[in-house]
Amino acid sequence: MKQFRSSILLSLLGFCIAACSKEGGSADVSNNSSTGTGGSLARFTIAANHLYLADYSTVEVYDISDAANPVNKGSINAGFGVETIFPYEDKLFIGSMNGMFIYSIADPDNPVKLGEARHVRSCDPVVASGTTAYVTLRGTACGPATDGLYIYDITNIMAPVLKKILALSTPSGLGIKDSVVFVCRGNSGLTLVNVKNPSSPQPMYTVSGNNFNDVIPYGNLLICYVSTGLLIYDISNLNQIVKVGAVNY
Amino acid sequence: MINMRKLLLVLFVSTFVLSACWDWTRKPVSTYKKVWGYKPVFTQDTTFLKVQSEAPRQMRNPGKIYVRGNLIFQNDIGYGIHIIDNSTPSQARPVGFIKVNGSSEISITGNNMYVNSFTTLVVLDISDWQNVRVVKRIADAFKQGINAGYYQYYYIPPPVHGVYYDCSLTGYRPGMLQSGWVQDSVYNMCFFK
Repeated sequence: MKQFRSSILLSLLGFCIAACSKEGGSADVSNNSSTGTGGSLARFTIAANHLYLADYSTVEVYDISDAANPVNKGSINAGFGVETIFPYEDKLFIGSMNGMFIYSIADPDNPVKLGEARHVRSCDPVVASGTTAYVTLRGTACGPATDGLYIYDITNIMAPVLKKILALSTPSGLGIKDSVVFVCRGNSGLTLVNVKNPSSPQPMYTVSGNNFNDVIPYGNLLICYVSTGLLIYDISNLNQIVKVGAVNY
Repeated sequence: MINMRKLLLVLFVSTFVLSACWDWTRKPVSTYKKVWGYKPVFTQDTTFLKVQSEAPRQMRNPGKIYVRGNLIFQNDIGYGIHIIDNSTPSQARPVGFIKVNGSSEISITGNNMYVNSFTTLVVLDISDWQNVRVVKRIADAFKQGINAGYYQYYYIPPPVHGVYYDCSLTGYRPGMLQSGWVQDSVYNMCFFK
């Protein structure tokens, strides 16, 4: 009985905390500060109090305004093999095995397709910045695409235009900070690419010695998912990033 | 005959999709034959779905990463989520583990973490991450691929690298969970590199 009562108290307390934090959340489409950041290979993302989940050929939409009671609001049909979801401003960039799809989440319950760039079958994480979207296509296990960093002009979001393909072998996850794109390339390392002029990307240098899968630029840190676990780089000087930490599990 | 064709279709599609993003590879061989490898073990024991905070443990299959504040979360594919204290990056260290069998994805907002556990979406209260609490389970949130007869029905990678594994649906029935692997004679179709 005592236990029962304390569990009620606990759940009430939990409810209060949840209610308070909900109040603090903004209706703004951009992630509020309490939402974390995922990598470019993520299949879950949270934006505008909604959770978007990739499930094979669709992206399921859940309203999580009441965190404990996600409400399914339907789904986006996004082609074959949805692999990655990247939120940017009031949009979702969805990488599926046959293309990049851009959806508006101005109405978060009802994502609306704005544009798409179809390509040959491949794995293709996406990041975006300003009027440019960056996609890595890897032609090995996934499909016949040419390995590289594909750069799209999305000034007209309805019709992304392929501006440039920078050939880079075995690309995987990617991230962007200022005008530098970090491209993970498995055993070939981590390649930094200057994209100040997106039509003319300039490879800067490659950090080797690890098998890089994905990265999260986080302020002045770059959190790297490598085959052995986790590495942390200081990226305050993009001309020379410095490894500051490694997690030994 | 129909079963065989279905099996081959499932083999082909599942290996293709798995290899695409999970670093599981389909070996290009011209003739399939049986070799010594690993076969998945399925269970209906739902205690396997129990989610709980645990002490830091060894990483088995490094997976996706997620950052919030001074904490980094890294999935251990199939087993759960490692929590890393990154308040001093040069001394980043694991401080805890959240056991979630069948997991591969993480997202966090407010006090809640959203994570997959096989085909279920689990919502956790992580305000006290040393004592996480399940606040909601949504069954069959990820059933699509399985219903279609292909896609990720294995959520726990084989115990060792460099082995062939059975990627057919042998022994699987709806509602079952993969609890692990057992050594057996399998077709040399799917290779865990």
